[in-house]
Amino acid sequence: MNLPLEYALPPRHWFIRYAHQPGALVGLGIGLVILLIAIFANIIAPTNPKVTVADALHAPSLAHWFGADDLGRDTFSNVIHGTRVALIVGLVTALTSTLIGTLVGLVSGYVGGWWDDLLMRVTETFQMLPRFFLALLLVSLFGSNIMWVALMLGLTFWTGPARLLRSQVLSIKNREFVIAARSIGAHELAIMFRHVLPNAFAPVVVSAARQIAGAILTEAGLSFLGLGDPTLVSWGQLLNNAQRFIRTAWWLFVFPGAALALTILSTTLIADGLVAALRPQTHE
Amino acid sequence: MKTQSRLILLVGIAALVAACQSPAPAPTAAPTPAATFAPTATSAPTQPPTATKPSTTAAPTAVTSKQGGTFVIVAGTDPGHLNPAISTSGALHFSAGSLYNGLVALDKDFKPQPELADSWMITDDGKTYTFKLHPGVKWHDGKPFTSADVKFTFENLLLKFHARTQTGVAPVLDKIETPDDLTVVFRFKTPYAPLLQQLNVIEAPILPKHVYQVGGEPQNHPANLKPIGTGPFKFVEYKKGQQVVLERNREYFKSGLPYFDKLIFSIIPDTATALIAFERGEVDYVSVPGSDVERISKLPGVIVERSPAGSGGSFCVQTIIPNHQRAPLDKLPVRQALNLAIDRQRMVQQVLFNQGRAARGPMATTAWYFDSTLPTFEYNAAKANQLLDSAGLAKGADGFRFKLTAVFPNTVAKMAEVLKENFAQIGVNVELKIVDFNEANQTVFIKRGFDLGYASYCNGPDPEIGVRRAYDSTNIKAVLFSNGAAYKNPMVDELFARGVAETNRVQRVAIYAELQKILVNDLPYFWLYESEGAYAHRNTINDVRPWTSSLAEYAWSSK
Amino acid sequence: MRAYLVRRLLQLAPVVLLILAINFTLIQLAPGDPVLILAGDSGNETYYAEMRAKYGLDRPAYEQFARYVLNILRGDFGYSFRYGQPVFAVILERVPATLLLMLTAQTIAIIVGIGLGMIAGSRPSGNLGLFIRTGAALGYALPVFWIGQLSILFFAYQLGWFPVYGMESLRAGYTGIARVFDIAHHLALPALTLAVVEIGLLVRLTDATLRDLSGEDFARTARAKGLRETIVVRRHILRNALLPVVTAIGGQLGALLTGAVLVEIVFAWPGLGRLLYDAMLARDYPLLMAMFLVSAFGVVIGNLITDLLYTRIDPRVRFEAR
Repeated sequence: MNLPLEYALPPRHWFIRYAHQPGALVGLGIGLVILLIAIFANIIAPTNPKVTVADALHAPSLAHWFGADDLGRDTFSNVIHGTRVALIVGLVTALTSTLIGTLVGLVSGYVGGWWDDLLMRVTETFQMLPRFFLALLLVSLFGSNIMWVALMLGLTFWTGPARLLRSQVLSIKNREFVIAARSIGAHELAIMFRHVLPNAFAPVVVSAARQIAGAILTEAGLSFLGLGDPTLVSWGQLLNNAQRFIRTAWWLFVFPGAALALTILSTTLIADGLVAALRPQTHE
Repeated sequence: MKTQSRLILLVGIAALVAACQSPAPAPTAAPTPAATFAPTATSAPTQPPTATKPSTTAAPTAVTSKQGGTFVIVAGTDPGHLNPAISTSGALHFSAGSLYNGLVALDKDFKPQPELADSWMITDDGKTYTFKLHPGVKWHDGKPFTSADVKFTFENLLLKFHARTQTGVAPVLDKIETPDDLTVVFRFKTPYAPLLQQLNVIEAPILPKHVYQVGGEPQNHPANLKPIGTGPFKFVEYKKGQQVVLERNREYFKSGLPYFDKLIFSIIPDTATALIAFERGEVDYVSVPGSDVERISKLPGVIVERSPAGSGGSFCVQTIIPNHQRAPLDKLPVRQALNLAIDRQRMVQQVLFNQGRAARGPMATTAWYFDSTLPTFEYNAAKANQLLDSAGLAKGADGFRFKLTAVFPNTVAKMAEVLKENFAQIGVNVELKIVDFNEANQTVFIKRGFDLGYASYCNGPDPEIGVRRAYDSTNIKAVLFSNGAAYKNPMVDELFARGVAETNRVQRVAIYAELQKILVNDLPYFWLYESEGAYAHRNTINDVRPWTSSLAEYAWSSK
Repeated sequence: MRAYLVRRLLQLAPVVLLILAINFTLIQLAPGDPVLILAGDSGNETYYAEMRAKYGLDRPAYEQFARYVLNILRGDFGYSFRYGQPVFAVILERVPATLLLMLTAQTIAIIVGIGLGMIAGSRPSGNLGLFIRTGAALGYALPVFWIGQLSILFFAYQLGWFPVYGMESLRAGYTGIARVFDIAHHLALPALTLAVVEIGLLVRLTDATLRDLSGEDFARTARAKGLRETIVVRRHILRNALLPVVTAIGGQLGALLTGAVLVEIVFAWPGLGRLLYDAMLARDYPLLMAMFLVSAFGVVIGNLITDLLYTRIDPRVRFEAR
């Protein structure tokens, strides 16, 4: 079962094909910047995001580029620090869910039969769990630990990719090239990972990017309902706080919103680039 | 007459302590479905009429010109059902209060006024209350209202299901008698003075016996969703999550009242949306969060009224509860240091947006029993640091002396952040656990898993119940809004006992002044601030009385 | 096909029991106590104990669960703590509002989303494709409550085109056809807000799959036959591209009933999402359990429809009825 991961990747130069797409490069650029900002947030942010440094509801100025919130805390520093939580929530959730989802979807779709039944029942059961309630519960039980929240979101998010991949596999597994591979005596596992998975994977990549977005947005939604962790420096919390000042302090919701949009845009562009780059090259 | 004067004082021991009413579960600031409202007046509840004349609430002569119109009121939370006798939920009483009446009403100064009862008589021993009911009162379905309804409501609903009446009245009540259709007699085991404060439509709404004696359990009774009352408005429809619609009761026993043809409680959970709807004229009456008061009050044709009541109680002091059962909060110097580190002025400015004031002690600064000689609390981080240094609590390598786990409801998340910042300045690391209201109360009062908790202790019109419960060492138990700090001081216990027994009002105030001095020195709690609620309505709407929970009984539109 | 359906429905029983057990456990684990809410701000130990006994909350957890399951088998889902009504009456009352909102939003999203996705997908390069893709990414990128509040501010407050909140005009009390228009007027903003997000998702999915498939051999063959590109897309690629799109839409069906909490709160829309949220805050256990069950059935039915659609769209998919 332990096939090297490279097996799943199309043979040659997929990164060159990626680099040929300007949109994908822009996305990657933004993504890298965001990653750097997250890593060096302490250095980049001019002030501690949780410490009062200005008047309450200070409008954007040279000293405080993005203004300050109702407790006089620098919004720029908060937005900078918010990248960390966003990336943790997004990446951990997407990784967890894609990993589980891919395995389940592939086995379920390709092996079929009894396995398919079992795995799909499990998938359905997980789908039926009330995700929002689960999130509330986990926040209550595990407190402020954002890694936990992200992992748990991942554990509830994987059903999407699983079903997606299964449907792809179902439509691929009886195609000519798979049958051809089988007829020349290729090992079933090899067929699964070498021929079926790469050809079925594109929508899952899109879905993974979508899950980064989904996780960040779920955190924002929970925060909006007051179910998030208010002590966390996250864009969701900033937006949640901002809605009280939607009429009086525009900077509080414009900047975190923009940061959030940029991040999602970047993951989207990267995903699109990957889709094109990873397009199956079986016939070349 | 001697017994009489004692009674007068005891009447002040009002159980009207709608303390710490659960804030409506809205995503943002609680929209304040206020059940009880404190007046600004600091006067004590004065003499109740021992035998008042039937005061027919004289209807104004120009009634007809006031009549008509629809009044749309924003409710932040769905009431659930409309049976106010089995629930103390503020959201429920906010709309159901207009459907029913109590035996007495309370005016803005908490003085009992005739309502379903025209007059009452209290025996000298304070054990028997005789109420004469208003004749000719009809239920909304046309059936006559009688003393049997009162007896039934108390025995089958209020004393069993209304948490405050069940706690306050049930243990001391002997029996209720109905010698005739218009007379009700309450007999108590021991002298019981607060009764008249517990008979308004919030504390003891009277429900129809002929409806509730059949048809099922009170909690699941169909009439809870098709209520029949005696109140100024009649039920039309309740669409859950959407609206409660009431219409004018044309046969209301207070002749001439009410004025509005239709009353609509429109349920809008999101505060920002509710305010925009108000600005667009879609609704007429809305609770305004502190951050918007300034902006809204500048709008043309809009009046913002302030009420010293916070989110649903009277004379409320928002309070941090240090758990004395956990070190080092049991040490006075530590509590003194923490108290010194709290920047109350900043909280008032940035958390309340100046809609309130800094607390000065355990009792609300607007209450008649407040000791005005108390100093204001000092904010001095340097001094606090010194205190902690000399208490031997040195800073560790991480810059912190010790860690405190704070369990607060999400309604006070902003205050929590200021507090965390304040305490960090003196090397105290606060780990915030911000959870929903229900979980916070459970963790603090029932499970007791906290270092710092939070409650809005509402004092009510008399310190006996609203204040005493938080300090009396016999009240350290797994009950909401009890002595959460687990504070024990025999001296304090004794002074409270003396206070309730003291008949001379001046003496009594002196006792409470002494109490306040002790408490301010002992610092069993950290009293933060007293918030004010703000309500906006158009200037064409007059005479809204939110403190009664039948807020539109006298309201009229001059449009 | 019939055998397949029967098999699927038979498989449901253990899943439902499992779901009930998990939900029940979650509720037991969750912090909070409904009795404290029933007590309001007051009460004492006696009151707490009486309420606990009254609602059977004083029994051991397994006994509560057994009773619950037995009652369900008798068709009794219990009474809501908060509303004092049978839970299904409470739920049914809110279904129309949610269905109206969600189906409108989904319909808009499917038409606009797949349409734009096709346009973008058949133009892998070029400005229009880029524009649509960027727009879709942005539409998907912003929190729905944020878009909702901005749209209220702009379209309802500034421009006054739409009412601010709710499902009906309260003062007017319209009837008949006027009421229909009034509700449609109220529906527009929340439905569009929800649709924006969904459109973003569907555009991206359709686009990605289309572009992916246009390199497949059947498309190449079609092109080699000299067919025009639009015909290639319409006749050959689209059918295949629908598969993942249908999966995504099917997945949304389950969330149909509870998925719109945020929009329902922002627009004060009286639907099921808000009911669930209120029930959660009030620790209304019977109502919560029933709502979880309802949403579970939504998922089951959504998945079933998805699977059935597969066989229609893609003849290669076969169900082995064993």
